[in-house]
Amino acid sequence: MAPNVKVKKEKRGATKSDPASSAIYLYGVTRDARALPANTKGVDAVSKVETVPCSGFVCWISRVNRAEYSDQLQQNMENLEWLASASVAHHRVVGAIATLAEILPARFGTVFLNEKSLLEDVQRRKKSLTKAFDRISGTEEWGVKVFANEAPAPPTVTAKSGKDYLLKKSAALEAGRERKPDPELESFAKALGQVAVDEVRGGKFSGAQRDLQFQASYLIPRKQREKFHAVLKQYARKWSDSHRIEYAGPWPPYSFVSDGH
Amino acid sequence: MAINGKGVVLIGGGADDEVSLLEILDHVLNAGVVIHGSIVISLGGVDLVYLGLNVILTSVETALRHLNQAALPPETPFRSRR
Repeated sequence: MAPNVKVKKEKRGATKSDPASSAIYLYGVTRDARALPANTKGVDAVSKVETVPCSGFVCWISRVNRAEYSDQLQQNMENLEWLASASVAHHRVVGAIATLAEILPARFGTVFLNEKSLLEDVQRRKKSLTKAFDRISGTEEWGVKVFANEAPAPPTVTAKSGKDYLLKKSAALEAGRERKPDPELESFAKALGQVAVDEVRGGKFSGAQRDLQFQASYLIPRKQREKFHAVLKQYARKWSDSHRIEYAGPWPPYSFVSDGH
Repeated sequence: MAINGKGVVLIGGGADDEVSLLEILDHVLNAGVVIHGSIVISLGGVDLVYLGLNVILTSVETALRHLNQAALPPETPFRSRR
């Protein structure tokens, strides 16, 4: 717990509105305030979504249960069921805001103990937030995946013993991972990159999907959307027998607002 | 909005379409502007979470693959005739 925050002793039967038992969950920052539909529910499916003026920006927050979202956040994130519903709810809120205003989405699980610490942090980051707004202005994020239509069947492993089997199996898997760069995929990536302002390769969670050969997120100027789709269409036609292209969007610019940018 | 080219599958893109959980996790987690709350999971902590989740998701994927293979073992005459 941060040293600058005094935590009052929790009273019995303390409610969510009690500052000692609630925390502030941040969805993101916009330049101006807008009105979301009044029935929009927060990350916990219960709380309201509120706006707080923050050093000339607007912070979008919910007041959530402190134990669930701060003390036990890490354990909860390891619980796929909890994480699934919270991350989908987070995305719904960010997506709803994004239809109204350009938003810098906050990292999932950004939680403050009180408004003061939120305001202080935003104030400290004013410069980098302004830069991030300039970067994403007029853009949207698209995710692209390429799958092989048919993967070669894995070689059959014959072995004398269980240990022998595992060793051979692991060697075979290792060999399967060493994929040579496919020039076709490279030219596809290059063509998409030419339409995009920025790109990020890979994805942490889809990596295990079967036959996935390529995955990237692109930051596309809204005006270039048609051009971007035209490239996808062109390669889909070219690859109709060998590959399947999946794409998803538009997303709020999740992948392009972190400090590395 | 639709793309008619063969082999393109559009996920999301319309307000009524649902995108898969994997897509959401890929875009929402480990992304977004870093604003440090009084309490926020350390970045190292988030990576540990990924590691754990990858194991879960990978094992789901592996289990499915094994189920498919069990239904159609590579050595069966049925498969080799195809």
